[in-house]
Amino acid sequence: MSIFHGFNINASALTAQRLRMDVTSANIANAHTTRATINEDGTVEPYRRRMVVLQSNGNDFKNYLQRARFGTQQGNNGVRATRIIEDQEPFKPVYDPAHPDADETGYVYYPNVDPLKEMVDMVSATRSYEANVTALNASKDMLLKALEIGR
Amino acid sequence: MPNRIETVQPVNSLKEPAKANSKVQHESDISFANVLKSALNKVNEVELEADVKTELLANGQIDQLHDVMISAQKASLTVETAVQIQQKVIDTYNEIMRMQI
Repeated sequence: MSIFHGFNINASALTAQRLRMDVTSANIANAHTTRATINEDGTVEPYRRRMVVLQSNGNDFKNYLQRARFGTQQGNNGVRATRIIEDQEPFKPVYDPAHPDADETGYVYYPNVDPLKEMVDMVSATRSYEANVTALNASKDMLLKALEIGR
Repeated sequence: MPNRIETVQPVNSLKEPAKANSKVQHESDISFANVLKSALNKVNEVELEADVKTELLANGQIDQLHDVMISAQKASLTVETAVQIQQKVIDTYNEIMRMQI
């Protein structure tokens, strides 16, 4: 239903921000994980920081075709998470020969997770979520105001 | 005497006079009773969706809490709209009943 268009757009954003929050939580939880992936040859690799790629719903093939043929835009312009990519920054080496995952030189490689960045991402996701809830409430208030027309 | 309230017809018939027969058929489809019925069905659908979401939440099968809240808000808004329309219809009916003949 098109009167709930705004609701659906904000709902997609809420879902996306929840996912960002989940990914940030996973990054923080695995900030010291030295065995995230185990290779076939038995070597272990530390956790890689993950990031969410968000994309607008309006720029898929169907929409471009619609725009080219009819000059109209179909579908909502919400947002969706298309991919979760891994941060390719190098791991942080720490000298600790007693650690079970230390290499021959005595270095342990820790994840490339920076708690500071994660905190910033977390606050950003929380604030975005709040903004979308506010926008949603505003749409609802608008519709309720519309019901008062002529009363 | 017209016994039903009909919505304004688009002027398609001017462009396609051959389709006059189907227009009559179309008019009976969009009688006031049918419009009301389909509108109420839609209201019911939205309500049912909110119910299903609430039940899923209670069962712990929902992973997006805001979906439940938004469905509930949609349902409440739809019902509110339906109530407002119903009041308008009843007001109109009363107005007509009060008419002096």
